[in-house]
This record gives sequence, C-alpha cells and structure tokens, in this order.
Amino acid sequence: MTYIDMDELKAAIASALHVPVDQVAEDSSGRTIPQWDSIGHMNLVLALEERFNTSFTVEEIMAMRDVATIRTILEGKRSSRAGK
Amino acid sequence: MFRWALLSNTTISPLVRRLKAEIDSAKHGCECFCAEYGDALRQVFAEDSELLAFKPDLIALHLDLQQIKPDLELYLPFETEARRDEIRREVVEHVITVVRTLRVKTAATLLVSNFPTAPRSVLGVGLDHIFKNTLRRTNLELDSKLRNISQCHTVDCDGLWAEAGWSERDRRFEVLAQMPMGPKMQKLLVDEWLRYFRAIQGLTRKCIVVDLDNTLWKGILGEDGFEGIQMDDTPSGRGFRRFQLALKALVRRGTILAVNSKNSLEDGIEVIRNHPDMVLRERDFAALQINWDDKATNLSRISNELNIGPQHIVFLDDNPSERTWMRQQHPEVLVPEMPNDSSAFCDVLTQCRLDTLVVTDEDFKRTQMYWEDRRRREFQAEAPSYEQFLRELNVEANIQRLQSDQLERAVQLCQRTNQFNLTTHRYTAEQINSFSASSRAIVLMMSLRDKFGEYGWSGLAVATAVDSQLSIDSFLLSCRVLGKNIEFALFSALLQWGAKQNCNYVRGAFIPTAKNKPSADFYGRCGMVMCNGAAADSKKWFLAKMEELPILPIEHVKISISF
Repeated sequence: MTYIDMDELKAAIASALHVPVDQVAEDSSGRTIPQWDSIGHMNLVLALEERFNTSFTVEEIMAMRDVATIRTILEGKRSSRAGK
Repeated sequence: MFRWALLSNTTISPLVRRLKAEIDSAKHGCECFCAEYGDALRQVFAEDSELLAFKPDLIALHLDLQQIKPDLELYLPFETEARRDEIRREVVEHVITVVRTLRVKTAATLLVSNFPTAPRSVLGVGLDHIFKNTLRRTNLELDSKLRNISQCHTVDCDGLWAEAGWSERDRRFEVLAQMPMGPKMQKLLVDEWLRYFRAIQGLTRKCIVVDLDNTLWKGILGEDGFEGIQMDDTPSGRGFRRFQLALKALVRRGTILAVNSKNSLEDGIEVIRNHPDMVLRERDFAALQINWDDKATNLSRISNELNIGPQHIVFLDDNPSERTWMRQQHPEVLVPEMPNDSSAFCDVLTQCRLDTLVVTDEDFKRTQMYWEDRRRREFQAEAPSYEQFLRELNVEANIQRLQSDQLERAVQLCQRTNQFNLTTHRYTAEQINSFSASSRAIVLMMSLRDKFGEYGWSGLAVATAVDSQLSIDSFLLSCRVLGKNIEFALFSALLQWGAKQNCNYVRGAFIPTAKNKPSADFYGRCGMVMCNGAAADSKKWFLAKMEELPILPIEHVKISISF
C-alpha cells in the first residue's frame, strides 16, 4: 500500500472547499463542512485530480463522501499504478 | 451594482463563482442570480418569479441541447428529411420562446448561447454529417432570429468548445450532475460573457498606442536605417505586415491609433509617409509622439491630446522593460505581454478588450475626425485668442428629436460618454425608446460640423416636461467636441422645447462619478442655482426660473433645431 500524507490531503481539501485547514478532519464529510455541497464536491474532485495527478471514475466520485474514504481511494490508485 | 442572472437547463452555479471572482478582482462588483435545470424555465415563465424581482441588467441564457432533445444525435440520422427540419424548428422555437418572454418581461441585455457540434458521433463518418449539418443550420437560424430581438446577442458556444477542445466535455460530471463543462470551458464561457459586460459598461479600450521599432517593423530605424527595416511580404517581414494590416482594420472600425516611440521625429515620419512597405500611414494615427522622452510621459501627452483616459488605452511594445515601466507609471493602461515572435503579434489584439457591441457610422468616421482634430488644434495654437478661434471655427449645430435610425448611436453615447455626462445613466435601447415614445419627454440628438469637418452625432439630452417644470434627465457630450461652448446650444434647444410645453422652471441634477468633473459646474454656468449643497460625492440638484436665465454664450454657433 502506498501511503498518502494526511496533512497534504487535508490541505488540498481545505483549499478546494475554501475552508480553514483546521476544519478538515479524517472523519469530515459533507455533513460537517457546509461548503462541501454538490458544487463543492465537483471542485474538490477536479482539485484532487490535479493535485495527485490522477483521474476518478463516476463510481469513485460518488463514493468519495468523507476524507478517510478519499484517502483510501487515492492510496488504492497509487498502489495499482505502482504495481504495473 | 450590476445585476447578472445566469439561466441554464444544466448545472451552472460553478460559473457563478468564477464570474464573481473575475468581476471582483477587477473591482467592479456585481450581484448574481442563478437558476438551474427545470427551475430556469419556471423562473422565465412564472409570474412574480424571483428572476423578475431581481431585475437583472444582464441575463446569460445557456441551454444544453441534451436537455431539450435528449440523445438527438443517436436518432436524427434515421428520421426523414421533413422530420429533421421539423425537429430543427422545434429546437429554435424552444430557445426563441424563452428569449422573447425574457425580452418582454425584462429590460436586461440577453446573451444566448448557441449549440456546440461534437467533432464526431458514434454513428461514424457516413452518418456524422446529418446531425452536424442539422445543428449548424439550427445555429444559423437561431442567430438570425436573435439578431432581430433588441439587446440580444448570440454567444458562440460552438466556437468556444472548438477552442477548449471537445475533451473538455466532462462525461463524468454530465452523468453525475448535468455539468458537461470542464474547467477550461467554464473559464472561456465566463470570459466571453465578460467581453459583453465590459462593452455594455463602457469598460473597453478605445485607443491603441504602439511602439515602432520591432513592433510595427522588424529592426531599429536608428541603426538599420530606412532601407534596413522590414515589414514586407517575406517570412521575416510578414508578421509585422499582418500586424499592421490588423491594426488598419481596427482603425477602420473606429479604434484610435497613436505612436509612442523613441526615435527621431523626422526619421519616423519619413518611414510612415514614404516607406513603400508601410501599411499604416499618417492619416491612420491620431497622435504621434516620436521623440527621446520617457514613454510614460509621452503616454500622458497622448491621453491629454486625444482626451482619452488611460483606462481606455492599450500600450503595445516589444520591449519588456518599457512594458514594465508603463505598468508602473500608468497602472490603468492595459499593457499586454507581446510574444517574442512577430508571427503571433496579431493574436495579442484579441486580448486588448477592444470589443464593441455594434459598429455605428461614427465608428467608421472616427479616425478621419481625429485627423481633422489635429489640424483644428494647430489652427487653435495659431489663433490670437480663444474667442477669435471659436468665431473663426464656423461651428454649426444640428439639433433634432431622436430618429429611429439613430437609436444605436444614442445607446453608444450613453454607454461611452464619461467626462461631460451630468447623470451618467447608462441607458439601453429599450429605455431610450420609452422616453422617445412618451409625449411628455424628448430625446434630443446633436450633430456638429465646423470648417475642418464633421463631428457626427455627439450630443444627447433627455428631458421631461411635467407640471410646468422642464426636468433634465440626461445631458451628455462626446469628449471630442468639448471646449467649443456648444453644450450651451444643446441646453438652449431644451429650453425652447420646454417653453413650447409651457414650462416655467428648469431642473437638472449632477451626479458625481470618478470621471465627470468637467461637467460639474455646467448648470451653474448656465445660470441655474444649486438647491442642496450636500457632500461632494452626492447628487446635486440645480433649479432656475426659465425667464430669469442669463443669455447663453452661443453667438459663435449657427444652430438649427427641429423637434
């Protein structure tokens, strides 16, 4: 498993949603961050794709509901790339 | 505060944030209203909708074909030709019905997106053309219908998609959120809307100031000499030649051109007059500052000479240090980066904010008028006194009630006039028409000529006559006719009309802006009295009994009036 730095991820999420980084925790989601609405989610997805140089599928975008899941998905993508 | 409404049958709110950020960063400020999916059409057709209550100044209508005719590309090729025509008409009708409803219910300027054509469909080359050609014809029909609706403009989304690339169509967000535009396309569309916004708000550039060496021609005149510089139809001259041709076309359209160059005046003029490969000639330039002075000083001179504020000037120079210097000294001047390669010079002109919504006769004549003005200034410099200069100028003013074919020029005057503009109401065609149609109001247009030539329609006044009071709503003069006391001619025409309407009193307001100081004391100079001496930045009312007004200084003007 390839490790994704949590602080780096939190900073990227905070910047994409225009919120202070201390508002983003591992269990943060659309329920805890008001800016994380459907439009915020689109911005977040595009920002993470650019930041981590990857691309998400529709299924992944729908599953990315909280910070912990996003990390898992990103780590999964890195591992599968490293495995190739 | 300018009021934007964005309407779309898809998700459009991500564009609101971009739009606000762009406008805020330019410090103009705006309020946005946004309606998406089915709500967009409800807002258009419902009585008392939030959209109507919002009273937008501008509505951008962006309808996606997928929402109007889902999956059209997959079945259209199998329909009969008659059925295809019918479908095309239905699509056009769908959009036009929305636009016409907005036109009737609001006074906003309307920006309507056309439909993008995908570069290829799943049906392959043999059938591709059927959907594409239908869509192209749809866009053509839509555009010709939109052109007949007042204050309505087609936004060429098809062209924007071509620029962004079809890969920007993000299928994931189309599936997830009906948001087919990727970030690049979103930015292009917002930028395109802003071009219209700036044109409506008078925030466009009117004047291009160019350097000479390595900008209009290859080489340095002082070193390479008359024979050594190049702007001919060869690979090394062609970029410069095309740049000159593009500037010439802009001059033809009404953009003012001036030179700001470190060179000897004699040598520079010699090239402009006599070099066989020059495209631009002396008559194309409204001002020439060719000397060894600092370019920022020269720019101030050009701005003063032409009476064009730095916020309306673009400066084009191949030298990066001159550009940096100009940006520091004149932050309001637009100084785009110039490419290292002259073959790309023309592309810079599309970023110069030169957009104009409509081109009027005045635009075509503008450079000729500035040329005449240069001769006029020389005449003034030689005259023994200002009074004598005015007397010998043989000014003739033609003042008449607004004719329908002058409407575009009237709107343009309202949008562009800043300095001599007492209330700066940026009226639209609709608003001017409603004054024009009222029996208690008048819209006056003034054109001028003198011994050096025509100024064209360059003054506008709007007034109403209610309860024996002549109330001046708008009063403005194009800056190039200032300094000849002809504002009093237009004022006297208003008084004559007021007298015919049995008015005894005349009333007018001065609303200060950042730019209209030159007109601040106009009503005072006419003999009217300020009624409220409030703070310097607020509206001031002036009033006078008409029969008590002093004689206006217009004996040097030959005036003809028809109401």
